[in-house]
Amino acid sequence: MLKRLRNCSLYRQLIIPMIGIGLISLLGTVYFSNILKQSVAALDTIYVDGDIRLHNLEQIERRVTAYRALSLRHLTTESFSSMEEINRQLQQTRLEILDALPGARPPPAATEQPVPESDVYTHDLAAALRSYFAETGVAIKLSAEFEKEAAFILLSRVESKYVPRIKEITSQLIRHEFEDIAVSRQILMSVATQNLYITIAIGISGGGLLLLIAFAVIRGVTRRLSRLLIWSQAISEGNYSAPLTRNSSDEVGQLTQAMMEMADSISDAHGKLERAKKNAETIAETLQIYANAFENSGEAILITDRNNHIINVNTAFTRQTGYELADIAGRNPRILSGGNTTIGTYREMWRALESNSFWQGELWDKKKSGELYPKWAAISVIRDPDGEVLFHIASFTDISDRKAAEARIEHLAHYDMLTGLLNRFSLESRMEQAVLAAKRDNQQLAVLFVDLDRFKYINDSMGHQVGDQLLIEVASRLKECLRESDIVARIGGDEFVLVLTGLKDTNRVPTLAGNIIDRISQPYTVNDNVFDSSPSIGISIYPDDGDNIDELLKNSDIAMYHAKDQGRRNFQFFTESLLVASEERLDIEHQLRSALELDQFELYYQAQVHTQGNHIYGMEALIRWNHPVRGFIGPDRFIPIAEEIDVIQQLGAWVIDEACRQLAIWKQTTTNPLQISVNLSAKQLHSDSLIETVREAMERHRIREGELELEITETATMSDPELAVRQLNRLSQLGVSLAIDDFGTGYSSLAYLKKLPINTLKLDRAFVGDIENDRNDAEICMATIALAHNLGLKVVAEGVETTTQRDFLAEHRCDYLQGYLFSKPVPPDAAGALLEARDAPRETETCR
Amino acid sequence: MRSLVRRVCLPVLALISLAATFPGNAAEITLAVANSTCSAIKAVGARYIETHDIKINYLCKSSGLLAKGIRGGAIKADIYISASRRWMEYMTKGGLVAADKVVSPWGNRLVVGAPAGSPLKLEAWNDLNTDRVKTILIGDPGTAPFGRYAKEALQRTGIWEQIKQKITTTRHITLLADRLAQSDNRTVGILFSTNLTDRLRSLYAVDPTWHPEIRYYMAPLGASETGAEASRFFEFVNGDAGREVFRSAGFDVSG
Repeated sequence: MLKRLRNCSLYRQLIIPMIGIGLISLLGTVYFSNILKQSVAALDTIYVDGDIRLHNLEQIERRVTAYRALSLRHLTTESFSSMEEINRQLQQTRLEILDALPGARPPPAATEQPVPESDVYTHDLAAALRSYFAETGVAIKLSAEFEKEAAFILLSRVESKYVPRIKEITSQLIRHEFEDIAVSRQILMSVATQNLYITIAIGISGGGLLLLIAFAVIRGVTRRLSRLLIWSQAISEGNYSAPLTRNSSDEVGQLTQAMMEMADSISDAHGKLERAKKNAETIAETLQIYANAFENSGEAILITDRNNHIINVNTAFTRQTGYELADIAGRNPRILSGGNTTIGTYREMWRALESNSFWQGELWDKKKSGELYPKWAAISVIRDPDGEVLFHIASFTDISDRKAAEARIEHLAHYDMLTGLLNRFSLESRMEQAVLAAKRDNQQLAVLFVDLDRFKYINDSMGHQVGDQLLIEVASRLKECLRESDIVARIGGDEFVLVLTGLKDTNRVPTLAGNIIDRISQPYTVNDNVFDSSPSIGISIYPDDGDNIDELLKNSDIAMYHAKDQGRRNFQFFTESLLVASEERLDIEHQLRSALELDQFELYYQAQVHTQGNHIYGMEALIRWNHPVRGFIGPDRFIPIAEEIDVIQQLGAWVIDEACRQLAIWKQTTTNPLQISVNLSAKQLHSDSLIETVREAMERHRIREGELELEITETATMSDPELAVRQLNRLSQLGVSLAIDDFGTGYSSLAYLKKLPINTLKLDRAFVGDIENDRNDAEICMATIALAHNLGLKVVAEGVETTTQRDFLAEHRCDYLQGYLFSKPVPPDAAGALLEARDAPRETETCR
Repeated sequence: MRSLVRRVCLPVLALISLAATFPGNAAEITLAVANSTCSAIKAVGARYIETHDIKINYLCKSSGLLAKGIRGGAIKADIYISASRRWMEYMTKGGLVAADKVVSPWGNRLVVGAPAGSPLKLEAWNDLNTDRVKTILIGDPGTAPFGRYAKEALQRTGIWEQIKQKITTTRHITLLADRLAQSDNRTVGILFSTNLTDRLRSLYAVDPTWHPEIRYYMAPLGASETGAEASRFFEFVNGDAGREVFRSAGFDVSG
């Protein structure tokens, strides 16, 4: 078989095994790419399934809230027929929730995993929901029997038993869903990668085998050729009787045959040659030395005659340019020219050759392949003793490598490696030019500071590689939005700076910024992940917002932060007031420390009234900073800073003492009981000195039990519940009434509140606002009032501004109200006047 | 108009009140009373202050809400009056009332009432189960005792399940009386006979054996700071004068 193959032509010896192996490789490749395709399809299914399950979980969360609202509404409904309607909705919502429950999932393809943790959670969720529905059902049944009281107690127990658990499991499930998708994706990725490797391996081994065969065939040919060569050497050495056998009928065999015939003719010619040779030998020896030097020179050398026609080139030249001597002999070297060298350079060159007979410099020439390349040329003119030109000798060095290296260094210094945009350094120099140009031409510049929202989140959650890809894509989108003459730079992380140059006016800047926001906010696809990002843009204008680059950049940065504050995904122009705001904070920090000594704080008082009758029962003390320059500063602006720089303890102690002092003054003139409320910050609650401060203030001003109320936020108690309970108990023992300030932010924590010795809940103003906006939430909140009454707590609603709100709160038995509808916070004198007015109508009742 | 009156009256009244309160801070007591006794107890109070230098505040709510409010600390009062045994027991269990201080001077009766102008007639209790009656107003059984008694009567006579869909509850008895007075001809309400107003008339007296005996319970509150003043008033209410006022208001003072 092998022997028969050897008698085939060389073409066949190569092509037959090649086709065979090629077919096998092709089949392998097709097979494994098919598996790869299946993996990708499986991945797609996982995403779609995951998406559906996530959607269902969100549905469940939403409907559970609706179910809770309905069940609470059932409890507050007094007519049986309305209850039946609500009960029907409850049943429907319950069925919808159970329908949306996730089933056990089929395990992802190509993996052997143990039962996923999330299935356990699914089971738990179903169990928790069923128990919740069953026990809520009991409460609803009680409610339908008009046993509202018992129903409230049962429902509040059921809610605190199941709702946090259901929320917890649902969020666990959502988290697991995300993790599962990630795990499946990784598994499939590794399968896909493995397949890819196998496919590549088949390709490489197929190619290798082909090379091997080609090598074997060529090796056979060359061995025979070298035998032929040895034989032909023998012939050339004059041994015409050297033996030669022909052992195959392929091309080499035919060549052997031909050469044997040729050897005979050569033998004849040899005699004639022998004679000529003797003459030539003497000349050749001399020439050989020069030729060697010429031929073996590392530099490309080209020689032209006096008319500048090429007469010789060396091997190095051929290596460099690709031109053989035969290609260009007799031609003008002009044909080598690449066209990138200026006419001036050529003129200069000829002038130098004329006068000095030597020129060197850089030329851009073209290779035979058409590729342009820079070379260093040294040209000498050889003249005879009369000065007539004999030859031109030119030597060339290819300097493209050096050139490329130089260009790369240049690029690195001026451009951002990742995105290819300008870096900070060159941004500054380009901006400087732009500012100068704008100044000269009396034009404007717009500097846009672009920061990606949520970039850190994307980077952290999806990896740097994805983050980098995102930045590259953002860079290319930014470039698309701008003109060639505008400047785009990345100056760090996810921060980009755009400079719009040569503006006559800035009318079009908002439109452009809007376009950029739209373009950057389009979804991104990186490694099969689709996600959103959006920019926040701050804009400063030359010369309005600064006449140097530092100021322009700083101000656009400030404007960008303002855009972030405004809810991201928008653009903001720099204004002086922004600068003022950022300086203001520093200012406040400095002056806060001395403000107490300088007596710059002042307490204002806001009345709290009985829901029935609107008469005042208490005053909430609210601190204000009477700043000598800035005027009144509200607590929301300086309290967080005071907490940060630890002035809060002194400040808090002052507020408690001052409020008690004011109460003592009012007690002398009013006959009706009055309570004063003071806000405590989280740091104050956790402070060791709090109890002593309160005790001292109460003793000093003879404040009795129940006259001082301290308001704390729910979150303040949450950070260290044990300490909070201890502190609150001690305050309670002092006779201080305690209120939760921001109640309504976490419904399920009512069970937790039971553990605290509090007397009052203050309904957050946001929830009072909801009365006119979101009835569903408002109703949950109002049912909470009913539950709070069950715990024996008072309820105060804050921020009551309209009669609609007042009527709704009165209808739902809220005890006390506070807000602009009754009185805004006023200075002590005005508050005293309110109290006097209060006492008057009360007396009316008694005397009537 | 109201503001005008206030503007004119205010300085005058302020002067008068100043004169009235000047001799010294008058003692002040607060009563937490079941809604159904609100007007009667105010009448007793009015008679009491004729002879005593004292100011009386009244908190009229359903017995249950008052009990919970007092126990939770939202309400501070000196005397508590409940329209049922249940809520007084809730207070004694909570340690707010001493069991031996509890008295029960009066009782009451349940009637089925209708708007004064309603032509509706009710010959028998079971007529509540006919088409003539579309809505039945009762008190919230959870906190308002008159609702609890009504529900028990309806259950005892075996018609609760049939008439349940006609029920609408109200939080306290004055609210029920108001709402009933504004209702149509097919609405009735079950309430204490003492709470029938001019705008209502009785259709049917509920048999007292169908529910536990309706008794009121009164007790001074242990935590009260104005103990002496409160207990003097307590004795006055529990004494002959107080009972006479309640008797004339229609309460049963035989117990």
